[in-house]
Amino acid sequence: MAADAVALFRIGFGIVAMLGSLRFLARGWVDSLYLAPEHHLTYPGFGWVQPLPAPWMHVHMVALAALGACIALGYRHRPAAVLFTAGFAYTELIDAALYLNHYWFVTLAGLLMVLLPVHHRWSLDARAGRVAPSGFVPAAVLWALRSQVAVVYVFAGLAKLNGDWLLRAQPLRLWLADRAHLPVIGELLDKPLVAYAASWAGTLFDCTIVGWLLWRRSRPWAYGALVGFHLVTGALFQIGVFPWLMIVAATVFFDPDWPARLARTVRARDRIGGSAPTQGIAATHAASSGTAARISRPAAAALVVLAVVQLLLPLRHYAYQTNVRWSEESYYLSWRVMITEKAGHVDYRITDPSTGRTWTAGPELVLADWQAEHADTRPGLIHVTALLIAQHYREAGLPDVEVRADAWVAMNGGPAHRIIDPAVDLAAQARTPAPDRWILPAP
Amino acid sequence: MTLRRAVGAVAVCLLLSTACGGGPDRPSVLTDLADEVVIPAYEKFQADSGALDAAASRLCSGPSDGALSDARAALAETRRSWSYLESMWVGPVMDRRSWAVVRWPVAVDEIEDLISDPSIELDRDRLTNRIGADQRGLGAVEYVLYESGDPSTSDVLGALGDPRRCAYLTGVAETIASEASVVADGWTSSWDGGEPYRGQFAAADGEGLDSVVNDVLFLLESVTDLELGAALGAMGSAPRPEAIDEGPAGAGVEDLVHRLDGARAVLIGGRSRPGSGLAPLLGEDLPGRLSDQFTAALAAAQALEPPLRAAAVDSPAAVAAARDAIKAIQIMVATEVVGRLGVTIGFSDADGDSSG
Repeated sequence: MAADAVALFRIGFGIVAMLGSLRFLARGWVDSLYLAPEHHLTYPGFGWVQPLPAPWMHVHMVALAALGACIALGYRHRPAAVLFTAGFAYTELIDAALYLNHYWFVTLAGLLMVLLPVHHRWSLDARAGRVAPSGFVPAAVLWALRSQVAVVYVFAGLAKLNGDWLLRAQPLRLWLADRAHLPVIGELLDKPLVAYAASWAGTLFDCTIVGWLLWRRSRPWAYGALVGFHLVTGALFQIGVFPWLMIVAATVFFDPDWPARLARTVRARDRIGGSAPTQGIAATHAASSGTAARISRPAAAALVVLAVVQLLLPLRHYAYQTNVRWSEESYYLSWRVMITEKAGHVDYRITDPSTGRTWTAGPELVLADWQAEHADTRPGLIHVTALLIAQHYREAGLPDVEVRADAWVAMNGGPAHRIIDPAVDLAAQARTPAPDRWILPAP
Repeated sequence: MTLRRAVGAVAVCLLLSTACGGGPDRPSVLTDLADEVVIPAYEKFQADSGALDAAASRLCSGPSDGALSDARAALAETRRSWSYLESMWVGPVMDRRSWAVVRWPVAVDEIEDLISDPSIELDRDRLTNRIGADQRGLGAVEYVLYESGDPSTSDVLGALGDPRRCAYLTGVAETIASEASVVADGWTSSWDGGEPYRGQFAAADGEGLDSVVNDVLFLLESVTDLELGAALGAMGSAPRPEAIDEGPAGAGVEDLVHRLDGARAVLIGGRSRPGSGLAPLLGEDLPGRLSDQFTAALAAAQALEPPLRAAAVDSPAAVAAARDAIKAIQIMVATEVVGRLGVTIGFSDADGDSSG
């Protein structure tokens, strides 16, 4: 099938990747989020991933932006995609407090950029003869990209099928009320009915939008709704480049030759308006057609593995038998996009068994304020913080301190409850993928 | 209409009324908070500091035990009203960094150096702009009203016979009163050419709400961890009673009670007007539970024997009980109040799509 939509996906992805990296630099986040903290809240098994020292972390971010540009231009696409994806994943692995679903999407889309032949059309590589120019790709390429986008919506929709979201309109009720100062619509946002409508509409949207996008007759309307949905959520909430990423990514649901069709329509209108005649779509394709770019066998195998992993990751919480919104076990990489509001407070009780003395420390002993804000509500991060506190005292000459957490969390505007067993010495608990018994059950 | 249909209609009506009704809107709650709690508190501080200024002047123009007693009483009242305001440090008081004029831990040696150096003119400009925050404010007034400056005597009245000492006292009291007037007036009229802060506070852009809730949290954390916690040695180091900011009047307990009272007024209204403050935004059950917790914490604080520094040493269990009760409020505010108001305690402006 035509490679136009696929090539446009690559170009859009590259541009968003480039702008996202530049935005990160421009806002000073390399310093405040990577370099300033004394410690990082690492992922299990990835404690060895640490930020580069200044100025190399800045250089790294500039390099990511440049690699994004290379992807968009199709210049040395494959090595650029490999380096971008690896480099982006590295930045995301540094601190779990920085986890964002759309960063995970960027990583996965980057992997697809590596595995799929998306650079044989509208690329400098094709122009320079580094790859055979082709106006066609196997249908699997387009479907792989569509599936990647679909995974986000479907699992985000399934995650919304819970009582808080549907029956109490939480946390949207809290979040929308906090936006009541916005002009024009602000007064409405304070109304519970609006929160209920938004909750149900959001669920319906996420759960069905892929179907509407696949059905040709509903596609333009569905895409319009998708653009509206993301623009509204982007205006209401601070979610960075996520709306733009999804608006660009969802174009893969149009017919594979939609850019050419669109161009043809525009040219036809120009002719009606008296503009000079332009080349037809047939001529456009003739210049770049040829045999379809192929997916190599190893790439195909990798795509299958990637697909299976992506189906399993969001479902792995069934192995934990806890309320994932409360315990956050198996929460990462599972498309639980903005479904819970949590506020927490943790005091760490440190005991020196050699003297029996017990004292209190806050997370700020080892964390930056923004890290502590995340670590106050996520049991996994509370555990890491306890380990960092134990390390802090070990380095101060107290090798065997016990660290317990007096941790309270209120979820979705409800009453506060303990989330960690206060009797358990977290410093003695290993970080494993197994369910953590010291996380108290959801209220 | 059958009974079943009637019941169904009533149920639908109830559901719709619940869903459409909404709670009180934030701007009106913040306006009420400003009008009923915050502005009156600033006006009281303005009046009290004016009375302190006048009492200091009377004392210096005619030193007597009665005048000294009056000045001390005026100081106590001013300190109480400033303590009450600590959860309301928003607007002009923040823009002007008024705490550096009104109350800051004092360095008594530097105060004595200032008083004893005849080459330094103790005029208003000097006391307002050209000395350190640790040489002025309520702590400085307290020092002069309770200490003679001479370790060999406790004759405060006699010491005030020194014109420079009195000039210092009245000058500092005047700067406090002047600052109190500016920040109080700033709520209802402009002090810097801008709009009166009352309107900005209630403008519903979320800043006023964020600020007062963060003020309350900061106050509670300061009390539990930085002051009582440190004084008791509960924060890792040896007990440090001096972590409690308490002058020779020994009014730490009284300060603590009024600081808690102010926090309570912001969250759920004052003792005289329960249910006001931010209570209308907190749902049905939370204000009641907060009220119970404040009652417990205030009772525990009032049960402490002044001075507070001494109590931390002599009655650590009682101080620890008060600290625990205040910590319980801190946890409720940091979790439930923040959660229900969607307040940003924010330290990072990074993106977030991962609330989960």
